[in-house]
Amino acid sequence: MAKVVNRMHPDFATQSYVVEAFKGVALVTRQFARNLFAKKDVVTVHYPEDRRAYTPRFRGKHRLMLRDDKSVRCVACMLCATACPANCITIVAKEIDDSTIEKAPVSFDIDLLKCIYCGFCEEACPCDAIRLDSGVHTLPSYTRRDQKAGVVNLLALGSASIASQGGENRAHSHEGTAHGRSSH
Amino acid sequence: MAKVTVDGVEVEVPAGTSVLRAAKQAGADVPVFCYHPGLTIPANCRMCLVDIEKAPKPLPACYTEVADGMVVRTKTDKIKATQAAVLEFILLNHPVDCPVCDQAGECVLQEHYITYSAKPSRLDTEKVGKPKAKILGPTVILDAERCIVCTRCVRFCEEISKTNELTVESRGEHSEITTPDGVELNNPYSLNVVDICPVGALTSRDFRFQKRVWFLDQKDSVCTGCARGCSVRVDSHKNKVDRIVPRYNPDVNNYWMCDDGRKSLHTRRDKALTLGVVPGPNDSTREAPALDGLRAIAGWLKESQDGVGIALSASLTNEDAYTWARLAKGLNAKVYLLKRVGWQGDAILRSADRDANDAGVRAILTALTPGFGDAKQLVADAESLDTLIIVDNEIAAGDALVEAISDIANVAVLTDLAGALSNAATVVVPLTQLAAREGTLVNFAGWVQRLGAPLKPSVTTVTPHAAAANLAHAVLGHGDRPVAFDFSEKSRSSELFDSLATAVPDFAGLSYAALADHGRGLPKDGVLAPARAHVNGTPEWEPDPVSPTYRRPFHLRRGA
Repeated sequence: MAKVVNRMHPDFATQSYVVEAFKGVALVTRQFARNLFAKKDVVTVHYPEDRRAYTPRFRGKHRLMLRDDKSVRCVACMLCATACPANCITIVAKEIDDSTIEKAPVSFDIDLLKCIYCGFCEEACPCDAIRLDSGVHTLPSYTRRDQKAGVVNLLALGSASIASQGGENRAHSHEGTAHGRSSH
Repeated sequence: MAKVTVDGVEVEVPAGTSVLRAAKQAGADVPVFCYHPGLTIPANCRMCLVDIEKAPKPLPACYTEVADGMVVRTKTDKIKATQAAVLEFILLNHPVDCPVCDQAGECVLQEHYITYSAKPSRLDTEKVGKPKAKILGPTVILDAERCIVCTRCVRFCEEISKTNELTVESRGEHSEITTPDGVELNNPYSLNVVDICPVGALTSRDFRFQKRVWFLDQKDSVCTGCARGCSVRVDSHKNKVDRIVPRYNPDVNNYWMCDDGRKSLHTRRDKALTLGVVPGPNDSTREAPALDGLRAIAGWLKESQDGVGIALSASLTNEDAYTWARLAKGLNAKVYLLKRVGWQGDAILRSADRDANDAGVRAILTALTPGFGDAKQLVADAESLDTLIIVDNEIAAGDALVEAISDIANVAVLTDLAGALSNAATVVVPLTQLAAREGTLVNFAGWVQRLGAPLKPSVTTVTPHAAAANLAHAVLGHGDRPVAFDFSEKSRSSELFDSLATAVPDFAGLSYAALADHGRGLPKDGVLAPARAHVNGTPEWEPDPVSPTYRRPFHLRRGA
């Protein structure tokens, strides 16, 4: 479908840019003077000392959440790897001695250069094991290899999850306790 | 013959056919768990209940025989309620741990639940607990909670492997598959119970936790473990073979295959050669891709074509044997057929002959060469040979053979696995790994099947027939060749096979396209057996009606 574009038709004074250039200098000078003396309406943030507040929906570097006993919540079901549109998640599963847990990840690698931070993995996760809410978004490194986030790396950012273990159905048996995601 | 009406569709089937088969022929899907076409029918899961006119109650379709004029209904409200009720019973104590269950994605219970029930559980007490991850034997692990006690595995051990290792213990909801005291599930066919298990109760220790099934690429192929040549499906991911499962072929292996056959590809998956060896300056050697090795061999042959021996493995494909036999004829080389050993046959599937294509290679060599020797002959002839080319060294490299070839001036080994022979050779040419080769194989009974080449070949390797074509063009030249060599390195298996079928009388009348998925028999007395007929676009035989093929890309399905 054709789209109507409203073109500007600047007059000669605007087109010559002489007036406009001075207007620009005046704007910058005015803001500089304000910042220097009045300190009002300052838009600049002194990053990284000061930071703007992230919204709760902000998606940064991934973290792996922990159970109450501090073991990793991931059960290596690969649903995150299945949902991942960038194919950046590689999990290797293993059998563990704990008879109540079927399997656990040996390695959980995310290629941060491939990741598009869409959050599908945390939505697919049935165990609240992976989250992107670490608030870390600066991920500089000198080599490509450093852009792989492994399980150690991801656990370092994690903390005990607040979701109830085993989902809602199990919490059902002891009625009255909060189940599902509780709020602080 | 009996005329049966299933859901309004009239079909004519032979007397004695089960209602289940008649329904399938009429296009009606009847869900089953315990029924398996390769085993006896216990009718214990009750999933296949159908309404039959004049019968007082629903009857199991798998066990009921058709009668003339029978009217069957599979989709009445009563049947739908019955199916949902059966599923509720089966799922009552099921752990529903699909996210960590290896069967998820190819689970019959999952499929049937979504299709025929999709209702939440009404159980408000604790589920019955049973052993998880119980080791049944060296190959199989049991999760008793997931088991629906269809007894397919028990029947397999009684009827097919005849080893009777499995049994059902206790009753009702406490029923559990188990082995008698002191017995473990340990027979050459044990992994078939994993294939036929409709749920995730029996899992292969080899494949367990390796891959979620929806990541796998499936390719139909043939097992190269022995001369039976079972029809298989090779599942791979990221160019690595993850598992091999049998594919139904009534002319070869039925529904089964042996455990060693399953290991035949992925035990060698990280060992495939990508670089060979060629001699460098001053008696040194260097690693080199296939073309460098072939150039070195061509150098020898251009110098002298006297005393050339070509030793072929009996596991080569027909196409490979055909091109090498033609090259041998052009070079006037002596031909030897080398065998693999270390294999035990049995009365079920395993052939005593370990070579996948003994019959095919023999037929081709008989037709195209004046005569060929065996390994003993090669040892005896070693002194008279100046150049020996061994194609595919997965053969019995006895000490006598290794010693004998060390006396030969120029020895080249074309192989995809390093071994005793390749260590003794001057030139090693890396062949395309077995799982990436196309071609056809003839089993011991003369059944020809196609290999599927599930993997992509490495660029530094060469297929055996391309190597022969390359050498022929380099050595025999394009002009006054003693034998016309009309194949290029890029010739495809289909072209080579069609050419072979005209050149070798044993293959007369066959074509690559006609082999299709399940293969064809070699002509007997010049007469080809007719291809199996198809009914309504599906083969007339009956594939396992309950193994769903998983879908790629993965579709997330949700209940009602």
